[in-house]
Amino acid sequence: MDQIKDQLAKELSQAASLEEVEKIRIQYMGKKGSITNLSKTVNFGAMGPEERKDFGRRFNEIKTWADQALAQAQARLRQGGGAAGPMPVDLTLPGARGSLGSLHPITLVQMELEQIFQGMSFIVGQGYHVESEHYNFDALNIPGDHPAREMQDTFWLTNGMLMRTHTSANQVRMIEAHGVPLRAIFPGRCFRYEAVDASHENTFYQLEGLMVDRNVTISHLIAVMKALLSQVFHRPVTVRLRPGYFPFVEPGFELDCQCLICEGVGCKTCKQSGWIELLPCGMIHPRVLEAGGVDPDQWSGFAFGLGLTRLAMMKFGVPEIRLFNSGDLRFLEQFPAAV
Amino acid sequence: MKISLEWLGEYVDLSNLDPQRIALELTMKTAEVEEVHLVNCHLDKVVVGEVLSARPVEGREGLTWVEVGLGGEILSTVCGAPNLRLGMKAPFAPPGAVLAGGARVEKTVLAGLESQGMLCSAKELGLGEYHEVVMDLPESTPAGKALKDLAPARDHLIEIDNKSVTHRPDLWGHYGFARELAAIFGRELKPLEQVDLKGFDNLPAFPVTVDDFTLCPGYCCLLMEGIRPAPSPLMMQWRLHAIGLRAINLLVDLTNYVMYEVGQPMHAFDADWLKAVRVAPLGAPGEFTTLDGQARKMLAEDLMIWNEKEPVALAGIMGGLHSEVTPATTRLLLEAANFQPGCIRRSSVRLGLRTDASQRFEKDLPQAFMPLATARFLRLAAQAGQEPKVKSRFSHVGDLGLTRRSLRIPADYVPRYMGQELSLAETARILGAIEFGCRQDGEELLVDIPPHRSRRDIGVRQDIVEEVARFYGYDNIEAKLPAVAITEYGFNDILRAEHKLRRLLAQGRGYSEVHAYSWHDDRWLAKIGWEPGESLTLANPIAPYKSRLRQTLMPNLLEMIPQNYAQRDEIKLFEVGRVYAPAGGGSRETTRLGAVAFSAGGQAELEPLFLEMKGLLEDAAQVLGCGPLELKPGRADATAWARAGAHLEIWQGGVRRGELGYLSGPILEAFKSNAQMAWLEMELEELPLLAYPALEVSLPSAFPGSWLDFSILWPAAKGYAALATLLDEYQDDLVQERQFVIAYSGRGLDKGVKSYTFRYWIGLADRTLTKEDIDGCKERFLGFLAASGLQIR
Repeated sequence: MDQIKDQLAKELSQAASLEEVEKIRIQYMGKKGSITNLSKTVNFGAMGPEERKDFGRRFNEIKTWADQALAQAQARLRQGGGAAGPMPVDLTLPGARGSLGSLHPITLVQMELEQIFQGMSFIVGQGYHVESEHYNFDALNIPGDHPAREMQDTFWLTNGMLMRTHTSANQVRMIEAHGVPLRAIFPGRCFRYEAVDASHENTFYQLEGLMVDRNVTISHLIAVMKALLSQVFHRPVTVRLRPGYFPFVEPGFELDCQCLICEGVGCKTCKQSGWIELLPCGMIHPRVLEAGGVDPDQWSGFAFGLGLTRLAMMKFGVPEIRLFNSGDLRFLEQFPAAV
Repeated sequence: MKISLEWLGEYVDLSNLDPQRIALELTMKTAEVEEVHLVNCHLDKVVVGEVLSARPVEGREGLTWVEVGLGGEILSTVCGAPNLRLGMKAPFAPPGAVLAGGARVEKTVLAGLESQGMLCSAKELGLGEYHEVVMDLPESTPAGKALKDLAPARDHLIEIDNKSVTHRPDLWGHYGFARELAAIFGRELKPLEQVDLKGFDNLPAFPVTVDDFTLCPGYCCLLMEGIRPAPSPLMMQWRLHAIGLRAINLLVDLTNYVMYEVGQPMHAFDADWLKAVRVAPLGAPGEFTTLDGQARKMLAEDLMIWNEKEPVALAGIMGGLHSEVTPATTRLLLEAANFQPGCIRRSSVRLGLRTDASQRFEKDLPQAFMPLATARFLRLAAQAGQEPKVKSRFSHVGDLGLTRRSLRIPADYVPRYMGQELSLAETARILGAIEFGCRQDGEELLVDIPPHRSRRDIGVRQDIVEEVARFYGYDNIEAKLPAVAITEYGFNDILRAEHKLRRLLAQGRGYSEVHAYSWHDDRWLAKIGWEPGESLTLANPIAPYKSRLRQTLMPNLLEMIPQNYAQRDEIKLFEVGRVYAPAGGGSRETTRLGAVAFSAGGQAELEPLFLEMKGLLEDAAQVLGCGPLELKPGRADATAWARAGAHLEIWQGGVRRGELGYLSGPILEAFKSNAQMAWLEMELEELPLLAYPALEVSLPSAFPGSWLDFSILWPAAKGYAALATLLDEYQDDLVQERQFVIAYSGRGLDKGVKSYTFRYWIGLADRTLTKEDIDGCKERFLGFLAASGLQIR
């Protein structure tokens, strides 16, 4: 039976016209066709009931198959394709693309992080670019003469306001607006008064986040940061926590991530240290909670800041920060709108 | 700031510890180490030389021919250093010695004179960068002695990130780091040897007054005689050079050494003319010349040190030109003071004068450093063989900071805040190692703060947690995800709208998202011929022409077109960004969508380009769910890009939300000649933003309908909208919807006439249409057209 099947397939594939297919049909499936007559070639009397059943099943299979094969051959020839002639569609041509544009790399990273945090039930806020000294500095325990103000060279406006130097400026605003308990992130544009070069920009993006609840601990902070990073990098990450100084947290930390390029051995990316400084964070300073009208004896929390621009540079291997605000499509079009 | 491990060895035994490990432990527990530098001193073969004779080389200004005694042998050399003097002791490198930088000393002939070696600067020995003078060693150093027997050949410098010790003034000297390392490695911290200041109590006080103790919480001074400007001991010089300072003479070196040892800046005044000290602000604007010779413009509030009625020093920053101690000084007044950090910082930032002293004072130095520094100065002077004759008692006003402060915290607070079990005994042990007292008092812990820790650093109970946790090891805290209560999720409608638009434009319409700056470039504004009017303005812009914040996204978006058209004929850009308007004394900040489509296709491309933008707006309205938009003719020449007749206003809910149009007129001169551009700008703030477009589903009819197409001739100059309004008047029960298909002009039509094709969808809800129904409808409509004076094509 298999022999007949192979033979039929071969003949059909060589058929160049509908007439030839019809001849083949008659030859196999006609009244005296070789498939139709298959039953006459066997001696049913010599078969057991199981054998008979098996023959019947196979006979039906080959008939069904032959019907389909003939129909396909007819269809092929009706569309004008001969066995040796060209197919009507060149399947190997490039597809005709729709109008897929590009999203800014910061948007791609930001939307991904928003999803990660929304999954951990953090709300998303935004805050203002033009801020008051109060929210950008004073409410964050950075009084007027504090040397930490120097760390953040500020663009001042002639009306006494300023361009926020960090998304932390939105911490107290969020606490005031939503109260506690609170889990929130707030990504956005920040500004620093500094000369622009390959690794410094006066306009860049951060993502700040905080959690305030009863009895939030350092242990919680570490766990949430680890969960964040393993989702960002789609793999478990090794982190280390060391002292870092920011006036609006106490204690303050620098969270380093083991270099994902060299696995901690030391390479160019991590400057041979095996670690990448990634996340400044800490337990929210009681004075910041107080500035938001929250009693630090009842509530505690952690806050963290992630450099979105820096993260995008890391993720996409961008060596030159100036490209982000350049409007250069040769750069931007490399980021398809994949969200 | 560089910390020398050799120097630290004076206070804590660091033997058998790898410098890299020390650096790592400091990074993990105290402050960020940026780098570990190896100091390799080139001392081999270098010996102590004595200048036996020195005479200028004729005809070669600046060069001296020197005979150097090496404790027997005498060699000659030609030297260019300005500080040579007869009898001076200095390091001498004979031929064969290899100095820092790899230069090998050879016998040479210089200016016709034989040079048999060289007198060395600190840099040539591998210490620091100072090479202008030959190292001036104390008289008592024996000539001929090998330098490697007098000073160490190696050191490691731990470079600390200054930002990471902003809050730790106790770490702005070596002793502070020694204290940390002693605690980290469980080694003993040697106490600092001091002279007992009480010993001078029977001497008269030096008169000191402080006008305002908030500006100067404490001021101490001591009058003394007998410190000659001699060279400092070799090791003092060695250490100062190693960390990048320069040794000058014992008096200057002592104040620097003490500052880099305990962190307290000191200042020495010439007491031959200083009669009394008063600390007070300048009181009126004026000029003051600092000891670097610069005349500086001063404000009334700048804090000064006064000699009776004359200001003699800029407090905490720099001395005045005439207060400086000179070699002729016989009596000096040694100051150790404490100033309000903000006051020092404001003056030093404004004057652009950052000194080692001001850097420390602005970090809130503990007052306890004042007596400590004074006592150390005296002790180190004595060790250098120049015990000064003290002529006054230790005179001080204000607080010496010797009363210990304490904090009360709940006994379980530290482990509770850490989220990590930790016994009370372990807490007390860690605190004890860094000199904090700790004892249980019922349910509370009484923590005693050592005087060397600043108030700014240790002020709240969380500060105690930090001290314990960092020595416990942050990495030893077990990470546990918090259990939280589910709360209602607060949607951010604007953010969601932003993302919807981003997807629509980038995924559906082929646009590229850009980020433009938040301020305009006035040079570009001039080019496109537009003035923004009253704007929020930066007081300190990066360039004078980049000071005005944008109130519209358009100019900065348009600015991105020319830089891209070298590579392409079609450009589609958008930005979802903020604009900033002055409002009252403050600002109003809103989010907008801006889009620009550019085509270099010439005039024929303009209408499709604009219509595509208009269609984009309609899609956007649907995606945002903000209800129907109304488009109205724009005001005459609203902006350089929104010209009369070339733009429409976008209205929604009775409020103007934005504009769209195409570029025409003078602005086109800013672009290349065949440029065609359509643009759109819309504000998202206060738009009703529904999660889903407002839909009312109608059931698909069970009875198939049909359609009728009509091409109607109409004067092009009257425009589509007028025709559509006219057609609106046609009423027919069968008509379900009128759909515009296409507009045509050209071959077969009169000039000025356009043919507009419409498709009328017809049907009935309760039965299938008959041929008679369809023909009847057609007839009725043609009748309407004829009555209205319209022709069919």
